Amino acid sequence: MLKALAIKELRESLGIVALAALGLGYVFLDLIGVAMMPWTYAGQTYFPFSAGAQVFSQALCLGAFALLLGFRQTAWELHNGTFYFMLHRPLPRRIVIIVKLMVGTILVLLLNALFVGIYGWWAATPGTQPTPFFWSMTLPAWKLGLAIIPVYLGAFLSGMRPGQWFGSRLAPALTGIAAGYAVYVMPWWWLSSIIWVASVVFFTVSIFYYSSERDY
Amino acid sequence: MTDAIRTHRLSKHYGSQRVVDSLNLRIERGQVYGFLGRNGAGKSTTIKMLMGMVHPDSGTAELLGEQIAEITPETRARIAYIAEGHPLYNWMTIGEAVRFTRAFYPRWNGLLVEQILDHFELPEKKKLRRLSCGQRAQVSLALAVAPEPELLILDDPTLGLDTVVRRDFLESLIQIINREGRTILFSSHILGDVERVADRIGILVDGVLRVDCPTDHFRESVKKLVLDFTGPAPDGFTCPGLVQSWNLGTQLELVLVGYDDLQRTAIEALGPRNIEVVDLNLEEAFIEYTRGRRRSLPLFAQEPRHAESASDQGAA
Repeated sequence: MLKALAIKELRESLGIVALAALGLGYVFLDLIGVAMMPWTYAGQTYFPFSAGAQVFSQALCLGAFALLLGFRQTAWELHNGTFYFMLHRPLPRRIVIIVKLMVGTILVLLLNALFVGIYGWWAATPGTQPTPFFWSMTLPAWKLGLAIIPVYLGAFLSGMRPGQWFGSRLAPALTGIAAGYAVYVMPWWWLSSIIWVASVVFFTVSIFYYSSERDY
Repeated sequence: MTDAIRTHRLSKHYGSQRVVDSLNLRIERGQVYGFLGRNGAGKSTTIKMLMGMVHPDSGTAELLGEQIAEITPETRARIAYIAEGHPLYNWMTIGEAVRFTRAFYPRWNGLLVEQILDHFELPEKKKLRRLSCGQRAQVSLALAVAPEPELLILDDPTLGLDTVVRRDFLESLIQIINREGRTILFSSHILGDVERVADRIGILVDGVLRVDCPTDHFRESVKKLVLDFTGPAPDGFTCPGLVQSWNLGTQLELVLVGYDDLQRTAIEALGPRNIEVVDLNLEEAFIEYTRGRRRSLPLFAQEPRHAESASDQGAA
């Protein structure tokens, strides 16, 4: 039962995962100096994991992925009426939501891990680039992956929560982006951790509340 | 024996609009119940409340003896629901939809699914997005009956189907009913469908259950009378059970519920030249009954077991 649910979520996310993988692939190739477009510069121009362009591109790809995925898992099902098909199956409603959240969170972290892993592996390979590289330099990139989780949960909540108008409906997604940004930019790990935990708990509790209390 | 479905003063508002108003419904096990009403009457909202998709503002409801708010997965496995429009995951093939749905049920009649798919000539490898509306309905039906549910709740299952497909769908439904003696609640706009399968009907008018009686009883109780007068027909005629009246110059057309001696005497007192009593089929009776003065409609719930329900509806 759980396997069927997880496979369904994965199958439905494939398109968005493919888009994000393409985006991150492009970012990676750009970072290692492969010119993908005629007007782009060929040749490595960045220090690995220390360029603002890398952070921005990685955040853009993963953030867009998280937003799309969150809405895909909720608003799409509501729009197509498939929640009526799913939610009267003989299992607690929270299980359906837990599986969705688990699959979504794992996909976000996995994509980030793949990007960081491949880029780090390339940077660690001798002869690929002239600067010194230590795996500890990847820590901000891992932190960015964690910072995307509130963005994903905010989008999920936006799709789940009924709103009177578009603006209020999008409020959780915007809050998620703000929380994710705060998590990433805070220089103190303890403050980042507090913001991350608080936002994740807030979004998760809200998601379960609305999934059980809202009208479908 | 408990009822399959039982609601007590079930109500739902959307903003200031009362969509379902103190609904008292009892559907016995083994009964096929046709749930009728015009668009916006509250049928779908009622069904969604029963399925836990919409939260009632007040009142209670039980399915197979369990409160809907506390229904267990074991009980839910005994209930099938086909939502309006037959929502399915379009990216799945028919075979994938069957395997996906089967994963949730402890009991699954694979042979029955095969028979239904075979009967409707639905290939397992066909994507659901490529199916017509009628074929989606057929797949929905197969998925709904495969767990051998005791209670089927169908929200306008024949909506959007052409005549032939609708007939096929109903034939299958009738076979399923005959096979197991299941309880079925289905809403529909198509009275012919209801007439074929339902042994009892409920009619919602503006969220109020105005009719709750055997199908034949309703059909036989609603009569149209055409009164001919030598001069202008009188205005302002009223009598118990009058649904509506039209003054057509020298003719007065009346729609009455439960045409009896009392009404006949009142009508004869008007001095008509001729009285023609027109029998109505279910569709005509439904139309005449629901398009009139809605809040003052006479209630249908004369049987003893529904007397309490009728008095609770808060109608005239």
